[in-house]
Amino acid sequence: MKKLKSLFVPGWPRYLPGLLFCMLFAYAGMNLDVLMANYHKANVASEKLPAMQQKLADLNAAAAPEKEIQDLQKAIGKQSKALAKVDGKVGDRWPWATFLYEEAQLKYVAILLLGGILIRNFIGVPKALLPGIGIARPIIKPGIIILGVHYVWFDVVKVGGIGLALTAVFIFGTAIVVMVLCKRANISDGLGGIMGAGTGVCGVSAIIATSPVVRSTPIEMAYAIGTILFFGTLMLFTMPYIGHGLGVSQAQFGAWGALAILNTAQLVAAAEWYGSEALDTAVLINVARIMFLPFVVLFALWFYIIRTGMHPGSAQISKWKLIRDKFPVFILGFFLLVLLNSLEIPALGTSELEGSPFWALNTLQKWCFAIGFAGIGLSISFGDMKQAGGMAFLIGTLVSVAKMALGLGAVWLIGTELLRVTGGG
Amino acid sequence: MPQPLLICLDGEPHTLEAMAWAARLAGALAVPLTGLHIKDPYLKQFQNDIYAQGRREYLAHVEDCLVDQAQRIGAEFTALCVQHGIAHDYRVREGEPLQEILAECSTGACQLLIVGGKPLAGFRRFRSRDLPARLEKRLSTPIMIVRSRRA
Repeated sequence: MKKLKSLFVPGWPRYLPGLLFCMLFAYAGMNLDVLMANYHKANVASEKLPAMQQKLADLNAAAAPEKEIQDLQKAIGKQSKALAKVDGKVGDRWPWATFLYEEAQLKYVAILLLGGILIRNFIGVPKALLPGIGIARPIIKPGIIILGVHYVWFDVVKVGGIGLALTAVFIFGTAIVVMVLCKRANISDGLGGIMGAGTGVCGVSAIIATSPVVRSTPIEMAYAIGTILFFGTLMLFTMPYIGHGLGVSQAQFGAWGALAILNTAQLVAAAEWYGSEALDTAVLINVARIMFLPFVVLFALWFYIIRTGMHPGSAQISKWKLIRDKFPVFILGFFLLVLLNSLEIPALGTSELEGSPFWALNTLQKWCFAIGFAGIGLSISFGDMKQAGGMAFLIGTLVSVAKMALGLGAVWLIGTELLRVTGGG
Repeated sequence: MPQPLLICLDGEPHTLEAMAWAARLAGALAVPLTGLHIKDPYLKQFQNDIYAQGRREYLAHVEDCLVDQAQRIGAEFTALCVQHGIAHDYRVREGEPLQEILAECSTGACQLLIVGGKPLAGFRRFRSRDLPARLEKRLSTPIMIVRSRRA
């Protein structure tokens, strides 16, 4: 009994209401997405069908090749199905659905994020739900591990290799520039260290890993976290629209987001919002990015503690232990699934093969992301972002703008092909 | 025994000004002064970030910082009260500051609450959570807000 009890987190029942709420919210968001998609497709079908039917009649009259007629009949059948799904007929119109789904890009990610923000900041979230909402966010992590079934080793070497080179330049470039400039501007080591790591690697996660090492004060952490959340949220809602406006391909957007969006949760959300190809590229490059986290913490330790000779006790910290403690072990699970997918084991199937284990995992991954996004939306509080301020805000502004511009230039130069995940297909 | 004055302390410069006012007032009225510091666990919630590594170390660091801050503020407060020769008491609560201050006042253990405030105008007003104004709205205990002239 004792052993069984030890398997549970102490006080686990307090997480249930919030977690359940996130699951229901995710369910509602995904269904709303499907509903809008159906009406949008029906709207398009209703508009296209008369012209297609006219063309079919013309082809029949002109005794066109059988193949051409069959293809057109197939396309008409598809459009008719889309119309039938909403019990519509030719001539019915649902322009609102096309506007929301196609033009405003109100997919399930946006529904969950915007809906969550509205609920959190304008309606309010009962205190009883907060612990569960807090643990809903990290459910994205198993989703990322499962996403390993989308890749083969060729992708890891090609896209991951480029991602590794790009992120190495961007991470260490950002971290070094920010830390050196902060030092020159006489900004405290506690703030300079966490802003260097936070803007360089993966936002709040990096701040959490670095703050004990550089001994940041609570006010510095609050400033830095507020700034990272502010810019992460700003980029999450602006970059997909900028990307569409500039005609950035999905693969390029994934790489751009992985370089420019400061916080991981917002990066995953923005990439998923942009499209599945963008998500595949973003996650792979982000995995490369996260692998640098222990090394950035090590760099901060050297830059602020060992190099300066301050806090002699801290210099005795085992570098190996530090790397081991800060290493994101979960990415081993991600690579294990990449390996299994690369081996093409028939019993496991593929993410597209309906009914196979990998297909089931892929469906589970979508749920993990949806629950995680519900948690993110419901956690975005204007109050947290209002904490942004002081020098942290100035550093955040400069770094965000610079990374956005330089990242866009870099992915533009690299092009789509080198950044596209094939999944073995 | 007259009811004490209650001063909220967070170690910020504007609160130090309020603390000096409170000490002078308590001295003039010959009433005890109670210092109240709230350990705000706000930063601990971020341990759940997706890729957070070293959560325990982070939580321990935040807790150490909060304990250090509470001790430092307590020492400053005690020193000031001793200097003014005032009877004093120092309390530490943990939780969301607004709720904890309201809870402390609801015990009816003070006749006046004194809080420091930053000068707020324009964007600064929008950004600020303006704790003194929120307290003023919800408290039945009289409140004195000492607005610092310095930003």
